[in-house]
Amino acid sequence: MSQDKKPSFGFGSKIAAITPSAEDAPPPAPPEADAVAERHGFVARESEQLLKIREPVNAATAQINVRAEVADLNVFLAWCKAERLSYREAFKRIALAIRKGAI
Amino acid sequence: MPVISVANPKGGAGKSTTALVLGTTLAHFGGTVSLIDCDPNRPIAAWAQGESGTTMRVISDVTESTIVGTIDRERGGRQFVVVDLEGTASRMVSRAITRSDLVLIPMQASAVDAAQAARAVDLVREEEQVLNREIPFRIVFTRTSSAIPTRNEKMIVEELRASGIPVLTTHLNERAAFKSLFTYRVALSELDPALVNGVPAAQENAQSLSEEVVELVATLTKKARA
Repeated sequence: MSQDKKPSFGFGSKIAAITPSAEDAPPPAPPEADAVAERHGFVARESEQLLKIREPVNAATAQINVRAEVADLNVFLAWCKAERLSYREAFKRIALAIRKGAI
Repeated sequence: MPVISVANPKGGAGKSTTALVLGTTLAHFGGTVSLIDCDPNRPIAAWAQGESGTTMRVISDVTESTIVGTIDRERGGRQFVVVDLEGTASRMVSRAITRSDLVLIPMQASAVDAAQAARAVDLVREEEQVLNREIPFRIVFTRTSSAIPTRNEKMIVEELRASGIPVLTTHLNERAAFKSLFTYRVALSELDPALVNGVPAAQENAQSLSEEVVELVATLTKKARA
């Protein structure tokens, strides 16, 4: 019998009767499942990687130092704090506003 | 449904061959199949770089953290999700087993393979208690002679049956065509019989194995939904 032939004795129809279903997924395994596996020697082989909070910037970056009046700096810092922005993100907003001609 | 994991903590037991033969045969007969390659050596991912026209989707780049999500995502859209697990005892293996509807444990008819297969069986049985559900499993003998079973093979099969460990009737026999899958990086149905010996017999063997698995899966699905 060759696989090049069409499905014989209903094999194709038996396969067709199997339907994909996410609903049949078993409930999530409880945390003890890993502990049970470890007792049988099925241990973690991958070291856990620290999550990175800061998103990498996919563009050239540089740094500038600014000597500004304290009152102006305070306005900027208060705005960053209120908007929960990093200095980089805040500067990005200012640059965007300049590009749009908003300021 | 169904997620079929292929597991044995021993390397060289025939996991990737079993997974590839099963996945490509099901796809050949019209099934939608995803094969998740969890082996760090990525044998199936390398195979997929070949020129096979199979509709089987191969997924690699899975980790211990992503294996559960990957299986659950594929389960919703494909008729069969075959998971080829690494030949070592790892959290990846145990987590995949907890998401499986059927675990196939390939082994050669040797005492060394039997000892490692027993580890997988023990894990499945204990995880069943934690999960409070049955995780059906079957031993699949690989690389056996298609002619006459050896005395060693008969003895191991009898011991397994006596211990209540279920064994698939169909073996994946030792055949050049199965090895050639990885050489030519195509499916069995695409192998050139002029280049590889015994292609029709290998196809027949692959179909028998796949039919037995499909019938088993159909029975298990019916039971689970009842």
